[in-house]
Amino acid sequence: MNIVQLFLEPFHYDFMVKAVLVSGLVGLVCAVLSCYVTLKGWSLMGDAISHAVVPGVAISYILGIPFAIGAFLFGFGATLGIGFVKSKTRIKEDAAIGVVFTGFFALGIVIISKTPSNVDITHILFGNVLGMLPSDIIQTVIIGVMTLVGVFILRKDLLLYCFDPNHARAIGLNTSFLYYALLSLLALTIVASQITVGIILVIAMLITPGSFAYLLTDRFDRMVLLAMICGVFSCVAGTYISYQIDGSTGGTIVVLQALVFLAAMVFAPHRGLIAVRRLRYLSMKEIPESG
Amino acid sequence: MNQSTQSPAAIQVQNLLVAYDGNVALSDVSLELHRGTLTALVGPNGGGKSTLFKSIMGFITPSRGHIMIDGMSIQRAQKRNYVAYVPQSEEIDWNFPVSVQEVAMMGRYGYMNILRRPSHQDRHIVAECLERVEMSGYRDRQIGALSGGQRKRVFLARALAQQAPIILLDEPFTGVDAKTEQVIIDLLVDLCSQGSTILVSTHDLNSIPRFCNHVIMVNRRLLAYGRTETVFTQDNITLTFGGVLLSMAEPAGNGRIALGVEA
Repeated sequence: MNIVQLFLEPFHYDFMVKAVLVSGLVGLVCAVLSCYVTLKGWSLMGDAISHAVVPGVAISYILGIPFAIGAFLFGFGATLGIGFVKSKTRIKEDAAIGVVFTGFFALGIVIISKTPSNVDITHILFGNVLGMLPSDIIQTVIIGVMTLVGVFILRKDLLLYCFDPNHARAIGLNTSFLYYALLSLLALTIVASQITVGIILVIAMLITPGSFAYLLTDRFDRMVLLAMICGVFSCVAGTYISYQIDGSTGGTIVVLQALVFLAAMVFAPHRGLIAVRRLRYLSMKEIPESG
Repeated sequence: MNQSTQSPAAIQVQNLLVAYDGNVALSDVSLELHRGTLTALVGPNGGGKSTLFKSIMGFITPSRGHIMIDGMSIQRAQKRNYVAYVPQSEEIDWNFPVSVQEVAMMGRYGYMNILRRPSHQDRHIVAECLERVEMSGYRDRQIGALSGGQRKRVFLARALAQQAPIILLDEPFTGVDAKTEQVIIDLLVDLCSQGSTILVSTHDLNSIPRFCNHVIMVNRRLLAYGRTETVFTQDNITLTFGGVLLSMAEPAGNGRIALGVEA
């Protein structure tokens, strides 16, 4: 067997081809959303939604309905709950988020612990991309495509909403619609990612690609493109490597993303640690010359 | 545009009272701003200036009273692109990955379809507005890579591109250079003479008689409103700022002293 054959060997398996394609799609969707999450400062909100979907997934399995429906309802419900707690009490937003999402998450754990074996908590928490059922794939693809279409249609309004919500309002845009639209798209993305990386690690996919891209460019369209490259690359390569090393797929994907981010942090042309140091060095050198 | 006594006021505020958590921030405000006026809004920090601004923009809902824009509700007026707003610099994230051109184009969104694809006309108007504020040479710059004055002019271009008959500017002279201040003042005077209604909140009391024909003075309630020459008196300034004026004598922005202004 030569090296090419060895490399391609995993792709002889149907499940492996599907796993790579589906995780690539999830990487793409998460990357697009991550740009908005990074710019809006909604990392904690993403974390909250991802934990809050757990009871929804559990109840969906018990009732035998598609997991995506329960997951979305609870994920979105948590954001409403957070808004309610924030507006009705004097508690600050971060605490409101913390109270609500841990409550939802804990409820999910209790439900799962009281139901017979067919729900596997580790699959919910850490994903199960190499063991996806056909119905999982269908749900992931439908939700992923829906989210991409939604973001595409609203991309400029959402960007304006993140940048300057007051102006959005002043020109007559419905800012509460945009708020809930962005939350819904975030919840949908998390639901779509759940099978691939699981709810614990999805937050990495919703932060790291956007942050990586933000280090490299000052233009939003390029930021989205760079985030997509980072997201798709780490998902595809991570799935492949996890098969080869027989390790956790979600874990491998997120470790790869963290490495890509680290590389950008060090080597980025203008804002990287090396570039900044070099600039400082050059400006130090210029002082005696000019003076 | 002719100012007719029949047509409704550009901005009408009636018995406004705004309270946060039971604390009254601003009360007893009733006033009418008419077309073709350039009005300064002054008062000490915490005196309700931004509360009045935010109420007119519909960002906060008053506890009592109401506000009409050209005889319409605020929401309806905003849907018709009636009100443009130039924010304070602190409200903007200057690291945000948008260019000068993109910010100015945001003024046109209200005229575009849902995908916000700029038409030929939108591009033309944006180019013209950037020209008017002398920022054409910077259209592809990221907004953080501009000086304080240039940043302000970009947002002024956005307000111009919106082609709204009413423009609100929140502290437009804070942290700007003399050139920008002159560009802004010239533009506002020009727009005003063409019939726009302009409301400017400012700390820079010295410059007010130079270009504002009306003044609103607030300190938790409306203390004075009228033509600059009748209302902007030493007595009213003392009434508005009281003891606070001494601390206001610190350079307000341009190193000028705010004391001793004569109308």
